[in-house]
Amino acid sequence: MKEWKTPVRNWKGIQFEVLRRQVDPKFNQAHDVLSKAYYEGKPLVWKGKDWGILDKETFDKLHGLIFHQRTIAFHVANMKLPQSERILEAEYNDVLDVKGSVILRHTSEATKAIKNLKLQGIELEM
Amino acid sequence: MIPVARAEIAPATTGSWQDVDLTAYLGDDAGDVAGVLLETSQNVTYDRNGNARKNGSSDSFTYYFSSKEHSYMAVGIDGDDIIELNRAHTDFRFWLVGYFKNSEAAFFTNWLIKTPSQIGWLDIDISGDTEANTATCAWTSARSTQYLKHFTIAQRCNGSTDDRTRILVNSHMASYATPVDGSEIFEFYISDVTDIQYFVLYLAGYSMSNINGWANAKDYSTGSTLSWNDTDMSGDIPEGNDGALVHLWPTVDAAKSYGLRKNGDEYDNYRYVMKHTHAWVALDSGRVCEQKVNSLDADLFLLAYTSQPAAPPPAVKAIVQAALISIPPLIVLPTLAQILKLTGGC
Repeated sequence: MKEWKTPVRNWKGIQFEVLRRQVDPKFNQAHDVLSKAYYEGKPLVWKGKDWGILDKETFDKLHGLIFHQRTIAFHVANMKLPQSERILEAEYNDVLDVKGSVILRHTSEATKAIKNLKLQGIELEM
Repeated sequence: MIPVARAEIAPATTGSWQDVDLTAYLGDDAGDVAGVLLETSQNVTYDRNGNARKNGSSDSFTYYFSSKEHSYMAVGIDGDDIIELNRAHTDFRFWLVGYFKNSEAAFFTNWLIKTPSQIGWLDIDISGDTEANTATCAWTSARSTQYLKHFTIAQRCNGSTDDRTRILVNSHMASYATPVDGSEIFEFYISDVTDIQYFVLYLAGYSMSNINGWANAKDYSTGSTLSWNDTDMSGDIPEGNDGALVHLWPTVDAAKSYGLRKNGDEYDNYRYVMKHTHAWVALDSGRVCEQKVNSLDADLFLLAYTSQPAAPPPAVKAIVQAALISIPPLIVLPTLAQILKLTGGC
């Protein structure tokens, strides 16, 4: 197994920079711990839980879960901001069809996905 | 940039960001790749969501893809040759068409925001983003997030007088790549900034070498429709170059269908392009590609051409070893004592 290289992340000038500097680090850390364990063939140990050596299916589910949780956390953090500082949901949450109807919100999809993964025993404490 | 035989790549899981390992497609360059060029397509009658990003990114947006549409985008790849893909449905498909080595391009883990604040053609200066490198081409993506808020946009080299703009369809994303000038500046056009919060221009990365272009693009529109036609670009592209960066631009404000492929290839990527986009196509040794369009309004302009990095010189050690192998073995003369022993002499 090759040694997994931690991504180099840039922050300056990115979209929603201020809020992402606040929200993203712990999800990036979870992503990196998960990836290092999987790609190096080592057991995943996260917040006291030993997942053992992951198969691809479990890795994929955990990987997806991290970013579903990040979607929720970002939205929650945004909603806590004063009205004048909030990012419009249309900029990050709404998905429109060509007729302009909101066909889904990323937070709703993430909530459903997290619930579904929990039923499969896939949970990560953040 | 190194072309690859067009290969479909996709995560088996939908609805979340998933790692996709591209090592198998990168040959001896695995571990030394900065970014990849993807073609995205849909060939069913439903609209789907999806996106690609560099592994480790927290850029979380997906964009809308209309039924039977295709487009191109450049995205970074991590040191382990992994990118992340997200698609709402398996109808949203990704194709790997080429990659950039670390020596010729750099891509940001999280895309930089370069949204203009004024209308018209504006200079976008990326010199502050390239660190010790010097960019020769900027790879961008533009996204609209609001229905009924159409933005007419375009991208061109600084100093160009090309004026080919078109609407960015709501909820869609279109990607562009244009040479930058010696000061690392390109130009971007936007028609309206009244609700600019619903528009985003991202800088995904930049090329540093192996891409050469012109301030003003060259017209290579075909004169026939509904069949694959050879497009010979050798008049403008020197020998030794094997890729063309083009602008697919309809002369009327409507979606047109385009297919693009290397001369002699047989895949069929003839699909809608939602108003306009930049694209890349591999060329044969004669600098010929094939295009197919549904209308004489579907124009194509050559922006730049790409080549592969030169093969590195062999290491000195390897040269010496090769030389030693080619030297005939020394002839070892027997000693007098050995001769006497063999012949029984005293």
